Amino acid sequence: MKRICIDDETIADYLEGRVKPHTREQVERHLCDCAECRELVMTGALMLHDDASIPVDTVPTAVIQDTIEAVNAASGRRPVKMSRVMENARQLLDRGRSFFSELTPGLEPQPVALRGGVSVSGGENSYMLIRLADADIRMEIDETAPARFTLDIAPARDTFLETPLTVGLFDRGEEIASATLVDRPVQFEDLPGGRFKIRFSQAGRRLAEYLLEL
Amino acid sequence: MDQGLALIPDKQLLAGCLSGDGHHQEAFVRQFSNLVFATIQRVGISKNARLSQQTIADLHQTVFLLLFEKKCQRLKQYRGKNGCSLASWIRVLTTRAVLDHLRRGTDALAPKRKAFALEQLPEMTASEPSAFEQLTVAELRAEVASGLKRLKPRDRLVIHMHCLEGQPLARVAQVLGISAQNIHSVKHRAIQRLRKVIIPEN
Repeated sequence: MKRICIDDETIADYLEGRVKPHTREQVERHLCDCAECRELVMTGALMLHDDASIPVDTVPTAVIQDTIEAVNAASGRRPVKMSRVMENARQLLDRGRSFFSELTPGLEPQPVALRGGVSVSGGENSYMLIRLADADIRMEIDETAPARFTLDIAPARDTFLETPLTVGLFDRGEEIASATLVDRPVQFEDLPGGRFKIRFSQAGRRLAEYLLEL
Repeated sequence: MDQGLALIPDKQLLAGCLSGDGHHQEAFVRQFSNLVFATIQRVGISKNARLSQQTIADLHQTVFLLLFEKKCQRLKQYRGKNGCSLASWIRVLTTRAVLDHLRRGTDALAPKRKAFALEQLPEMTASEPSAFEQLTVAELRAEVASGLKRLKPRDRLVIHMHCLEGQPLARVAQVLGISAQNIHSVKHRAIQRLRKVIIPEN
């Protein structure tokens, strides 16, 4: 026959002195024969009387939130909040980024080209070749004075531009300079150090855009 | 109680939860989270068990799921008939859940006090007791076990908890609802009664 132990409310009443003498005797008779209930009562008395003397941590908000979600799920009420999914995804992405940084220490993240060609960044004197859909463009960066640069742009050798190419330079979304490239080089002089966007357009159509770090 | 939220009275909270209302169930979790979390940690500490943060969080969730699963089957057991508060009931329920976990799992270290069954009462003689002495000890143990059964439950409990399980007398006093001053005389009388049962006067 399965032993029926004392319910939690009766244990609480017994510990807090609310049971009648008859019930008390029944409880104590059971406790004499049941080690598990004896342990529960002993531990319960400790929790009741010495509660404040044992320092513990307060419950973290995340634990409460997880429990609420679990209770809601168990009740079939609503699925996990999308905001939580997005937060988890963001944390995963951040961990991936930091993992990448650990694998490649010292490397600066390179600007990503919107289309065509390669990203460029450089100081002092740098030369790069940008391959657009139907033309190759040479770009040369020259530091002419401390933190002052000149940007020279010209069609690469053996490149003939049938349609002029518009080169625009943008600083924080605002166009600060533009030039039209046909068969002669164009120059952007006395640029301060910083991050710019350089855009190549042809007949009003954007061909390529790059981030430029000087 | 938790995060400065306005407390909902037990009766109203319970009614809302039992009706399946999600807001009340969420409020219930928030209202009693700290109590459950603290009780889990304190039970673990009292049992010398090193509960990890994950285990504590899992047990926290387990307790509330136990209350709400199967359409609040466990929560329905609470009556509050003798003025027992929800907090008191939840404290005992949480204590039971942690003790069950410790019995099942590997978190518990060696118990602070070793419980002795009657058969394990220490030998009363020094090394190499004679056969006669061994028979005497075995008989004595049997007499004590038999005598205990003839005592009143309260006297039996005092001897079980303090003499056999090694619980501090102050703790036994708290369990029995006796003052720290009186417990010594209660223990003395219990032993006297046991002695009288085992060795009756002619």
